[in-house]
Amino acid sequence: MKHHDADKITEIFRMEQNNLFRLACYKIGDTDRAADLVQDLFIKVLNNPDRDDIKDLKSYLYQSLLNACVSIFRSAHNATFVPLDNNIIDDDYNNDDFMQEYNTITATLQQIPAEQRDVIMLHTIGNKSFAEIAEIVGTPVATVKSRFRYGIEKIRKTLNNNKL
Amino acid sequence: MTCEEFRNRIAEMFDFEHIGNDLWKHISECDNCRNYYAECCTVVNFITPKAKLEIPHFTFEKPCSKRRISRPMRYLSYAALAIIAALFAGVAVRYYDLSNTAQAATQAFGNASLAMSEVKNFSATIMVRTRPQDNFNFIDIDAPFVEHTLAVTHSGDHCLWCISKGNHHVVCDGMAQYQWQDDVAKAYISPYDENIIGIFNVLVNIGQLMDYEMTMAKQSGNHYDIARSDSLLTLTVRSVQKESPNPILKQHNYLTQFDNEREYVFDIPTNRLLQMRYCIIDDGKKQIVLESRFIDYNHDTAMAQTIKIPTTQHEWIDLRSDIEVQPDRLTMLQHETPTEAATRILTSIFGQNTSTASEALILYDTDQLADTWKGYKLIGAKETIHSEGYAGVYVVLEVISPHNQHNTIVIALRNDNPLRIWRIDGGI
Repeated sequence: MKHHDADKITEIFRMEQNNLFRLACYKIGDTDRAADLVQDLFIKVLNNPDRDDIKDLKSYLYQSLLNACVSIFRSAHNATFVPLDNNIIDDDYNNDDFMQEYNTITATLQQIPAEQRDVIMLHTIGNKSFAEIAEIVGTPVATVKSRFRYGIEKIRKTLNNNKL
Repeated sequence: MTCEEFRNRIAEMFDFEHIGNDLWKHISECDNCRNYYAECCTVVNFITPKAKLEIPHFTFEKPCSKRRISRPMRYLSYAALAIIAALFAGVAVRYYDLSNTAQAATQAFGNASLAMSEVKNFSATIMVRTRPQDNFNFIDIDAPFVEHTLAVTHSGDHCLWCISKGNHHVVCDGMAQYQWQDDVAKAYISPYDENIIGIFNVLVNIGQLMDYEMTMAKQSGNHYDIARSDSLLTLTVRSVQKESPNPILKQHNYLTQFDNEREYVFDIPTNRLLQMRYCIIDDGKKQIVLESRFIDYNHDTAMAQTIKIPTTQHEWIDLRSDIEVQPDRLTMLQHETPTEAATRILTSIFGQNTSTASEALILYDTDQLADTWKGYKLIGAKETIHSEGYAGVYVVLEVISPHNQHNTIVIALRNDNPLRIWRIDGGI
């Protein structure tokens, strides 16, 4: 059992908040809701009386975030999401650039199965290594690598076909 | 390793933590798998967001927290406690250990410097995060690895070397430097002493790099770790940002903004360098930007001398003697600022009238350039960036594409030519 005091949780959140936020944005397509989701997650972990039972806090955060994103989809399947046009701190890109990128990436990732998509998103958007992803999704590293490979291969073939 | 095995393990090439040496070895020998890897890199790059997206508001306030000392005061208390604890718990012993490690590093780099100065021939495969179309002086931490092969021969007072990446080659025969691309008609001959290969100039003179590390170890501003096996000595150097004017990293100012870690592996019996790896530490994550593979000293013949320069297959332009420019125009060109020069050059390319910038575009196929940038409009220059290790300057410009998209482009200009006029260097 590990002892996760509030300062340690805060420190981990400081390190991971932007990765968590980016991932939530790309999962649910709404920056405001994504920000709220990350904030709620922080409070939920702090208030969790069983937090010392958590084996790996970082993985737990990502697991919880992915679950929360799924819950949002399940509970609000009729909701209309506000487009991604707010709250982007943007030095080098204007909002059109981000929207274009968001649309391109999500459209591309829609072509592959959800479990492959999650692995790829955790890697490219969440900046997680395959070992970290294995902890988060609860599968062996070899499975994570296979999912990554099959996902990339499918996208590669589609892009090549589109070129022809 | 077979091609099938490589494809099954392709994901490992994208792991942040560990990439197997056998995978790199395979793509260094197999064109098909190298192309496959390049395609996968393109896919990963395509689906990786580039736009900055940071959480807009986040509070670290703890719900129902007890009344407590303010955070700055707590940190001060912790700092005071830490200082007292360190004083009474043997910081002196720790310092003594660090000093010893730095001494061992000084000795290892000194030995390597001596050993490398005695090496006549060596070749190396070096992976650099860069873009295939750029010159040999560019590291981009977001780019995939590109393989470079380097062969060096010291012959009397001369150093002969050749470097290749893909179809792009530069050979120095001890008197001049020859630069060509297999599928491009124009090729160039540059003076012997002009630095056209940037970071690889440091690697050609690798003994000097060891000298630098030895000097740094003496000054001991870095943190050193040493690991030994029966035949290998691994030295890891960690430098905090801006404290290391490392000859390779200082080629790009932006790289010196990061903490970095440099790993050198030496062969204990000969003191020769067997491997080196440069990492940038960004937000606590290590990102390898340059890594050597197969530094090979076992050449009976000088590999650099065996490279044939295809003198009959290209239109060779000799840059050792410069073009003629009318005196009035020369005065005007010599007095231009980099921003003015960049604006004039891009205006001429975008306006399909490259003759007004022909002196600056001597290295380029101007028709192709005009064709590539057809329909673009220049808005203006945004800034000029000087990079310590680069002889030229970078000018950042804003343009509008034919599809009305705003883009930022960077061009490198340098004026260290006999005419002292600004010329485009490398890609746009």
